[in-house]
Amino acid sequence: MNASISHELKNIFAIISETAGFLNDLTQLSKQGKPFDLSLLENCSNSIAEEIERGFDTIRQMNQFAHSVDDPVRETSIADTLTLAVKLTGFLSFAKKVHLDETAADTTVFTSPFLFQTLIYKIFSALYRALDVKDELTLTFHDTAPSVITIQFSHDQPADLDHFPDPQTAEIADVLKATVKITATDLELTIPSKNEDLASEATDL
Amino acid sequence: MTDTEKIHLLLVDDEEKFLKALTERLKLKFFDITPVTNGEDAIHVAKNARFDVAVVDLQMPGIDGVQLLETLKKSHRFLEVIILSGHATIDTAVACTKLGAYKVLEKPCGFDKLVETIKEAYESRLKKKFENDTQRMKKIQSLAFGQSPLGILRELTKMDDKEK
Repeated sequence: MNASISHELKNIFAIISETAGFLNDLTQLSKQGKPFDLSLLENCSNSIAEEIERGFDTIRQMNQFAHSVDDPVRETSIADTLTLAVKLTGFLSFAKKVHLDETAADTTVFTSPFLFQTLIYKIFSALYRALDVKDELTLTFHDTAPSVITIQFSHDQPADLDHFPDPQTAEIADVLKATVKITATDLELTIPSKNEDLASEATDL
Repeated sequence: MTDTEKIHLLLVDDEEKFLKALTERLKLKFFDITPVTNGEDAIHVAKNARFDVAVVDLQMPGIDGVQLLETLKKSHRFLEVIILSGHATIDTAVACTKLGAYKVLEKPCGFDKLVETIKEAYESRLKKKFENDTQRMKKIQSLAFGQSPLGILRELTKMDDKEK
């Protein structure tokens, strides 16, 4: 995750650097008495302002993720976790379009927010890599059984997810008591609405 | 560099604002730039125009920088490819160099350094092309002895096929 954030920041710096350089080039042209379209100046300053705002957004998202370790377990919003994961994975250049169905927006799980966020991020990364560049993802989530929440990642084209979950992801899913079921056009994540083991560990702390 | 000896540059990056700013700056340095935002378009334009140097981003949707490098080097043997990426690691740099990349630069890269590298890559292309042409001339000269005109043409066709 850090790699994708640093990639995003490097891109932002690269744009600011080249745009500032172009402004300098235009200044030199002006000094030499050579004419140029003044709208170029406006475009450059707008571009720099937009990239600075994009940088702030990136840092805000990075902070939001960093604070997920503040509480070992807590009531965690599914919608917020998915939304943050969409933003964080949006830095990946192979990111696809994502539609989030927030019909059950107030659904929460009592779990480790950090591990849950990491698991969701890993699912997104795997799906993005496996899906065709033009494919799109639709996310839905709801209570499917008493005390069980299901999050569905649906896509139009079949995806090759034979190697998912990888051992590290499987371990995270295990701690969260989550299960991952993969079909040709769906990845289904089920997670208990309250992870009793994590809850009692948190009480012991 | 003058307007009449512009370096034909293919610039590939999915970050559109970066592509636009870099294109404008390089134009002022008398480069002839074709900017594209993905690997598919890069392969398409490279089929229809001659480029001296390509500057390619590593991470792109669809065909990524490594795949594009491989494709371009196979179909355009004298084209020099510079990889410019915010995601470069030592492993990717080694892999790209093995595939024939002229150099791997990390974003953000200083503009002067980029311009210098493009010029060096262009010189490298000219040198390789010159060496190839010299070899070709030597072969043609050796063929001219004891071959019929038709035989010479057949041998030249074989040589051209090998160079594709």
